[in-house]
Amino acid sequence: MNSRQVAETLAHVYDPELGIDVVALGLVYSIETEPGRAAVLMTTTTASCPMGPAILEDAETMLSLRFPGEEIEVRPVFDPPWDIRMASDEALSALGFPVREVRATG
Amino acid sequence: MTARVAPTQSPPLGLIAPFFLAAPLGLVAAGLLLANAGHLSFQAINLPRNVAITHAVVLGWITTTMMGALYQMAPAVLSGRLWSERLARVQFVIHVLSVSFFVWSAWQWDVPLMGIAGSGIFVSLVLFMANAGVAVARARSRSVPRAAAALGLAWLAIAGGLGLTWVGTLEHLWFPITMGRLSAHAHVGLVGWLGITLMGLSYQLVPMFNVVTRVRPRFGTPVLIIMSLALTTFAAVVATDPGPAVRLPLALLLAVAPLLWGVDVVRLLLGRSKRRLDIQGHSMLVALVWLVLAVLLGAGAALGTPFTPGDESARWLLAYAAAGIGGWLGSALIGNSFKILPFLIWYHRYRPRVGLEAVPVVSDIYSERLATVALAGVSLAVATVAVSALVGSVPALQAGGALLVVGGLLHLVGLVHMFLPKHASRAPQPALSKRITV
Repeated sequence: MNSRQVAETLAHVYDPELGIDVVALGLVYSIETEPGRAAVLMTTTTASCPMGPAILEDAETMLSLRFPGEEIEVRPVFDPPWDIRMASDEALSALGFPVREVRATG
Repeated sequence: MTARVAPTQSPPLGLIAPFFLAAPLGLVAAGLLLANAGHLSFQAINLPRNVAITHAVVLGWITTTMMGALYQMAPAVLSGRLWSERLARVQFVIHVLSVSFFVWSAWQWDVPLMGIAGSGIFVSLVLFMANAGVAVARARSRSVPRAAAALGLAWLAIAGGLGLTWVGTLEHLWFPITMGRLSAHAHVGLVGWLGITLMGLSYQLVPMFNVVTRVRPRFGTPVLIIMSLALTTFAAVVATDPGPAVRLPLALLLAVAPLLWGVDVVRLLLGRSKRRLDIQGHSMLVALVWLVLAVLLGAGAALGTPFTPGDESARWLLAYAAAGIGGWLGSALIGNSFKILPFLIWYHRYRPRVGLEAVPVVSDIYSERLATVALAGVSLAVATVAVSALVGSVPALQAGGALLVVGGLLHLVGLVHMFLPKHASRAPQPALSKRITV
């Protein structure tokens, strides 16, 4: 289990409202792996989103299914708060944003 | 700042869905009654048929929807557990039967039966307030939506108590029921219970459904404070049946908080991270247009005499009620029902399959087209009713009733459609995740 495999697995976890995966949205802040263990820090689009805990639980479920027997820890983090500029170009396009304009705003 | 993953809470689909599915039938019933209404509807707002129609809309459609929304949101959004899910199911049955019975008995103007049905409604309201009230009290969140839910429930208790008192007075002639006292009851229910709850919850729903991250609402707490103080003043003074010189400033005072709320909603929608507005965003904008119209019509109704051509004093009030109840509250609730229920369906039906197969996302569960048609249909019906009242046309009023039936059925069809099996519209898209940087 390495960080890339963890990220690829998380790319199959979707924000049910936006229909875009959590990696493309930039919700995954960090992935740390060591033998037999993975720790993920991720956020939600809004701190008050009632689906936030469900998305985080889904991330844990996906990783547990993909890496059975490994210790998986997914922790929420809200600092810094998520911003649309954290999304990938492809996610921005899927949401209807002009990528160049969004990138120009910093 | 990190925290452990909090367990998600959501009441069973079988508890919430009946409220949402039964509610449009209240609109259908109101439309059927309106389609059979005559010229008397323009004479006075408190005539039997107007009372029946108003309560079919307010208690049957709007309140039933709001009850379902609060039962869902108190645990899911405010993190407060309901006192008893079984009690909520019992309350639903009592509510639907009592409201149906009340509307029928009011149409017949059978006062003893209205008393029995009114008592049933009061029992339903007490059970609802106890159950939802416990959930709100248990809520961990110290937010505007929580405060609004608590305030809304308090106003509901007052509105229900006044309503039952009026029915008792009809039967036992305790004291005269004047137009001012009726107006106080109506506004406490509509603005206090439904308006405050809607405005407060929308401070959660609008940012959530439109992914607003960069804009903060400015007037959340002031809206609740101003609204409550304004409504208290309005109800206390208007119950004494003052003249237009007093009614007009009272009406304008009542409009301050909803208009501040409207400013916040627009700011939030402009600051959204989702480029395309969906049904929730569209419905909030439609609701805002209706709110402005309701304020204007309410000011006209407050002036009274200059706007009562042919001694048909109910015409402006009817138009005002249509804009405020069907337009403002109704539009907002239609849009939110097409988001709250799909989330619940996704959570209970599809989420358990996450990781095992491609599951639908929320937008796969409801039909944007059906939702838009339902919103447009109800808005057209409400507009027809309001215009027919302003011009004093009975055929137009009856056409408005027929359109309300269609609108209510469209709303129901849109909601039922969500329960049909759905497939994931998108397979996993690694292409969207090119930016994996670890």
